Order: sequence, then C-alpha cells, then structure tokens
Amino acid sequence: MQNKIEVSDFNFYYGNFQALIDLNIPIHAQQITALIGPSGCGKSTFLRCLNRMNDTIAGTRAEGKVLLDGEDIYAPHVDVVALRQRIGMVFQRPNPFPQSIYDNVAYGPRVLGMARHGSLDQMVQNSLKDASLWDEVRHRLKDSALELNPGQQQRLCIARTIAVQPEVILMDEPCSALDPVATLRVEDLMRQLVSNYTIVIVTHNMQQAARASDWTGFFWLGRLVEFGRTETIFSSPKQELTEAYITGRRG
Amino acid sequence: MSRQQTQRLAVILITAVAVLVFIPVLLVIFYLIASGIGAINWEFLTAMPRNGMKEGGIMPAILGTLILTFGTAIVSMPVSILAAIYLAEYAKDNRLTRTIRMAIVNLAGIPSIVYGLFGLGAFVLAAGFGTSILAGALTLGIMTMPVVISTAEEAINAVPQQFRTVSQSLGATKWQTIRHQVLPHALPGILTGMILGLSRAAGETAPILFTVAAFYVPTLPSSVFDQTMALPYHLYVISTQVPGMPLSIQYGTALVLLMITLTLTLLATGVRTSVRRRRDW
Repeated sequence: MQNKIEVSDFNFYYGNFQALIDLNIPIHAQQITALIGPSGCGKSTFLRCLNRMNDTIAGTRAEGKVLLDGEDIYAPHVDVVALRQRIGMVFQRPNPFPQSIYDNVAYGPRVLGMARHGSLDQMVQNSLKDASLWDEVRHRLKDSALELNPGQQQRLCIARTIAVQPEVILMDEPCSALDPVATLRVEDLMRQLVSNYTIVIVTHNMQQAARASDWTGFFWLGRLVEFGRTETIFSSPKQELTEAYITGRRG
Repeated sequence: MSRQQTQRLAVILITAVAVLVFIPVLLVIFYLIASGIGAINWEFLTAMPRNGMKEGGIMPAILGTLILTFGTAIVSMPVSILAAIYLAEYAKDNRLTRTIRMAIVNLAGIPSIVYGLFGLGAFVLAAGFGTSILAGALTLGIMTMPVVISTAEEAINAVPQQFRTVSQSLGATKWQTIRHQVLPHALPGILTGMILGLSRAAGETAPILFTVAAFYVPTLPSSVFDQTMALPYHLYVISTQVPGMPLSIQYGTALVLLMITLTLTLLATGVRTSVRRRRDW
C-alpha cells in the first residue's frame, strides 16, 4: 500500500512552546485516517501542518519532513498556494461564504482559473453531487448558502473543497457542530469520497473514529502514542494510555 | 435617598443630558430652514449671481462644491483604500508600520487652516498648479485621507478571519483572497468612511481659502486649472465681505450647504444600516 503522505521526525513550535514532538505518521492513499486525543494534544495543529495553514500564524516553526507523494512540502521552493489546492480542508464549523450556493462551490475553480467557458456549471454540479447535496439544492443554487441547515452547510463546504479537485481532504472535527443525523450523513459521504480522495479527520468522537476510519492515530501531549488499523486500536490497543482514553477512563 | 431613588434620578439625568446633545442640531437645522427657506427657489439654485451677488443665484458655488467633492474623492479614495489594505492585511508590527500609523494620527490632528497653507505652498506655488480646482482637490484629498484610511481599515478588519482562512485553504493567493473575499465584504464600510470624509471636505472653508476658492468668477470653470467658487467660502464672503447683502441670501446659502453635507452624512448612515441588516456572520 502506498503512502500518500509520509511524516517523519516532525516537530512543530508556537514560539517557544513545542506543540508536536517527533511525529512519524504514514497517511495511506485512499483511506480514512482518524486522529484522536484529548483537547490540546496537537491533533488539529498537526492537521493544519499538512497543508501549511499554520504558516499564517506568526512565530510558528516546523522541523522535519512531510512528504506528499515523496516530495517535502516544507522544502524552500514549495509553492504553498499550489500545495493548498492539492490538500483541501474542511473546518470545524460550517463556514460557507455569505454568498449563493453556486458561488460558494465555484469560488475555488474561479480563483484558480480552472473554469473554462461553460464548464463551471458542470464543475459545480459534479462537486455538489459528490458531496451528496445536489438533490437538495439543485433548484435553489442562487439562494444564499446561509439559508441551508448546518448539516447541509457542512456538505456544501465539502463540495467547495472538492471543487478544486484536491488529492487529500483534511477534516478538522467536521461534525462537532452537527446533530447525529447530519453527522451520519457526513460519515456516509466520507466513505463515498474515500474511493477518490485520501482523507484525514480529526475527531473527538470515539464512535466516529471507530465507525468511519481505516486507520487511527492517538495523540497525547503532542506525541503520537499509537497508530494502527482502526479495528486494532479499538479492540486491542498496545498502549495502556490508548486503552484508557478510548474506554473513557482518561481524557 | 434610597438606592432605587438614586437609580431613578441617575436615569433621568443621563437621559436629559443625552437629549441636550440633540437640541443644538435641531436648533441649527430649524433656524436655518426658517430663515433660509424663503430665499430658495429654482433661480437661486440654478442662476449665476447678479448685482454684486446681492441678487440672482448661487449656482456656481454649488457646482464648485460638487466638483471639489468629486475631485477630493478621486484624489483620496485610491490612496486611502490601498493604504488601508496595506495596514490591515500586509503591515507587520515594525518601525515602518508604526511610522505610518503615527503619520495618519498626526494628519488627522492637523487644523484645516494648516492644510490650506500647506496646499498653498505645495500645490499652488511649488507644483505650479496655481489657485485651481486641482490644487484644492489635492489639499482636500489629503485632509480626508486619515478618516477614510481609519474607517476602511476598520471595515477590513471586521471581515471575519475565517473567510480568509477558507479562501487560502482553497488555494487562493493572498491577493485573490483580499480581492474576492475581503474587499467585497468590507466595501460598504469603506464607502461609509469615504462619504463621511467627503461630507467634511464639502463643508470646509480653510483648506480651499488659498488653494482654489474664488470671491467671484463670472464664468464657470472649464478645466482643473481654473478657480471656482465654492459654498463654504461663498458663505463666508457674503456674510462678512459684502456690505448690504440681504440676510435671506446668506441663510439660503447656509441652508444649501447644510443640505449637501447632511445628505452625505445620511447617505453614509443609510449604507451602514442597510448592510448591518443584511450581514449574517
């Protein structure tokens, strides 16, 4: 199995505070990798290191390698803007732009100049279909995205992300603001998307990690305590700390 | 006195003082309307002055003020908005940025007559524009910049950070993010600041005193190098320099000037309220 992303000896600092310590993580292509751990353990920070969104925060520093298809994304010549097209992101709260449903999805293709004449409609339609939102919004594409319910908004954000045809989708607790039904719909969507994309999801929800992911990494105080097949991690974790966390005795 | 009585008294006092603020505004407006409305008719607004400005209209002054306001916008808007974008989006906290900010604060504090003298020295004399619309618009433009820069920067900062984050996570460059997400959402706020700046420029006398305003010109300006009459200066002239000037013309002129600045201010307020109602974040 090929690794889409290979993280080796990775350290990350906010000023003098070391948030991530000696990380070595494989992200397998076209699989869902879940990152779990208590708040402040560094899993979201790690996620934002994968598309270098932390670059926008002053005083941060990264050491080590993050290889995307064998190429270090922290190498000096890397075009961060181009990198972020390849590695898309879905955020914790549904955050559509206060524009129409159509314009939200079309935003990425427009700024990236992907839309040749006439094909933009098709791209928007395909993205909405892939995000299993098309049937609900096909007759109201010009309506404001803010009129959708939170679950629909989050699927719209996923559609907006896949509209730029990324290879990897990072999801930062994408269901934490959603009700259980909407959460399950997003999980179903992830299972569909993973045949075309590599997905990394940060979650606080143990059941979600167990249900939806192929691989699970458990973070604790900036370190990766354990990484492995999801069923292995949840049925027979090797580390006592992992077991304590997933069974709810620590966290 | 019981605590409840103190409370009641405090509310009454505070309300009374707040109402007091309102009184001068109303007095000025009603007094001007009462004294000036009689002078205002079609001829007053559209005719040239006659008979040593004691008869006829004030059209050249109205037109001059409109031209100057427009010129001020052309001078001030691009520079101010670009400066605000730089300060809000690009400037790092370093010596250069602090110097720029200090310059803006100081510009805002300069008395308008000093702008007038600066305009005289810099644009009328040194640059050789003469007493002209160009020199006046440049002077007024610089005077309005601090207001416009500050409000525009505020409007840009008020655009939620997450729009920028999302836009950049989709592979947009920083400039595309500013151009397609930040500026459209900040535009109403920027416009508000712009209009407020212009309404101040429209009513100022001192900056145009030496740079553009004419006591009386029999013809309308035909280029930016011409002088022009303007309402604030015209008002000053007819109130102090022309003996035997009918009071109704003086009040009428003041009323027209007030209406122009008041319209601009109300327009700014309107833009701001309508956007606040539409905004959902």
